[in-house]
Amino acid sequence: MPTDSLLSRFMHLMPQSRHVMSLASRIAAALFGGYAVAYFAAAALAVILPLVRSEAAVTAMLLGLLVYAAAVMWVFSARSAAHAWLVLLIIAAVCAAVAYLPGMLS
Amino acid sequence: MKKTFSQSMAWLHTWSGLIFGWILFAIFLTGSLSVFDREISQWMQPESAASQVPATTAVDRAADYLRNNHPDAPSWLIVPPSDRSATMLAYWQEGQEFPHVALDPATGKVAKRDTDGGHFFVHFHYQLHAGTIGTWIVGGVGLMMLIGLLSGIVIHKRIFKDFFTFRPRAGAQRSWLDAHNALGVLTLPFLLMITFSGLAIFAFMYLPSPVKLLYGDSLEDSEEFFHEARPHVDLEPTDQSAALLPLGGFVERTQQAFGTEQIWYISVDHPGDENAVVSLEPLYGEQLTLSNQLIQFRGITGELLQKGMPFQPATHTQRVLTGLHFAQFGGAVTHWLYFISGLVGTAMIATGLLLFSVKRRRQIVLDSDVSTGFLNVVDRLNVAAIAGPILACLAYLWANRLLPPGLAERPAWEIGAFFAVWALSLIHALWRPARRAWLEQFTAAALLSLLLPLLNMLTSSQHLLVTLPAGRWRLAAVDLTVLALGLACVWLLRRLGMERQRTAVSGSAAPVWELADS
Repeated sequence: MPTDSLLSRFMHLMPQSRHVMSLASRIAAALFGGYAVAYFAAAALAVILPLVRSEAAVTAMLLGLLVYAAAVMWVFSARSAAHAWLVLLIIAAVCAAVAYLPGMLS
Repeated sequence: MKKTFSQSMAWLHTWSGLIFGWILFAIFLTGSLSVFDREISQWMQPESAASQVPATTAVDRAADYLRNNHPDAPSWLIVPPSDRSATMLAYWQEGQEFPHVALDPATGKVAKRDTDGGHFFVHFHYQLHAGTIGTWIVGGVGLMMLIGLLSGIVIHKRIFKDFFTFRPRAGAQRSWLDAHNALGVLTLPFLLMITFSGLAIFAFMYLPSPVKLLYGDSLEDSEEFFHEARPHVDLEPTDQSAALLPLGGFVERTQQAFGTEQIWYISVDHPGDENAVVSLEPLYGEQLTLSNQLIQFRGITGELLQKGMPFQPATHTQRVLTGLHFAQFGGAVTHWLYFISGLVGTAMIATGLLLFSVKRRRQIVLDSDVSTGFLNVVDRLNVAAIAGPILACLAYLWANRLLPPGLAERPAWEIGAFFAVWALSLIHALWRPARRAWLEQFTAAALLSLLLPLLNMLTSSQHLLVTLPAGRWRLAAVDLTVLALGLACVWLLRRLGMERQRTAVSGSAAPVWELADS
């Protein structure tokens, strides 16, 4: 019964491949989601910080690096990959709004 | 992902440590060598080692070379000879690039035995010889190093107790773990500093959003940012040509202004123009911060433009981080502390890599997540990632002595030897059983290190029998450090042999290199 054995082999692979997919998604969240958060958090900080603009830019860049490191660490302790993506994208969107909306509105 | 934060950090530490450790070892090794880049350059150009031309005369000769060969370059930069190096470097701008050549201060001509010298290690450790893409890769790997350190702290609950724990004979897995922990904890402040400061140097490149937002997207916009952040005088070229004053005079005035003999560099913006600007910084500043000791003159009139304009706090912080990373401050003691701390960090990375498969082969990790086939690949890549870069660096020095001094494209050949030997190490590691590969490659490293001072005697006049009696420690230290590396390899080989015998007698505690064969 070739169909049966193929099916059972496939069923056997399922949990394994789901695990791999979720891990890949998590790694992608850390790499790209984490970078998006760091990128937009740095932009938001640059706008918020009450400093001369060169000072605000330098402070934001240095803190942004730490934000990236923290984001990656958090992604790997998050409940699930989907949860990690959701939270990172929300934070990135809020930061982007803080950074770019004032310029767009004025 | 795992049940607790600590468990997920352990997972992250293990896996990111394995994947990124393979390249981090090479970055930390070459980064440590970069501390002594000038001494290595000097060693690699023994023909110029004896000349003792004062910086004032030397920079005039370098300026002559640049005027004759690159008169239209938008800027020049000269690194004069110092007590760390008898040769000097002349850079000129070509677009966004700064090519350079090593000059012999005695003749003002390109130094015999053209080489990138120790500069190659500096370059490699932040670019992997791969340009901008390399800087991005090193940035990503550096971020993972930072995460590795932070997650290491999280999972290491007994950090204080383990600091005093080392059980060299407690069996392979325990002693590798102790070594990894002890080396990591010992150098933790250094490792955090060197990793974060390395990222901070290129922060502008990695996270461009603040500058794009506050200044704009164009190249001119980012130049405006740099101008505001780094207080210095810029003059627009007038297109009126004028004769530059001899550069030696500016060196002398800087020496007087800061009370130091050693000049780090002298640069000239639009050298043939009426608005030429000459900028200098002294070397071995007592301050950590690079370039708040910047002094600038008008190149045509000699008028002082500014001296030591202060930084604002955030920029100052970033410059201090840069200064901490470049290790130009202090003297020989500081340099040796950096070098040794860097090597301890390198060893910490190596022990971490070994630990990965030791733990799994002994099934300490119970829900063993990987197959034996995967561990075999890991063991082989470990050989290529640890022994490989050591052999490659040695091959670079050997190539310097064996290639004919007048060879065209000589620096490229030396660098080619570095990568060729690293590739050979990988092929060898994939071909041989892992334990044999360790033994054979460390035997090769021991031989290359122990014989290098001999090769130096045969091929140059600046070897230990000359440099030691003359008390020329900076040059002798290169030979002696390589000898010490050779002895360390011999010690490691002896331990490999001893472990093997012990295992044969007791039938237990098979060490990593034994297990690697199974």
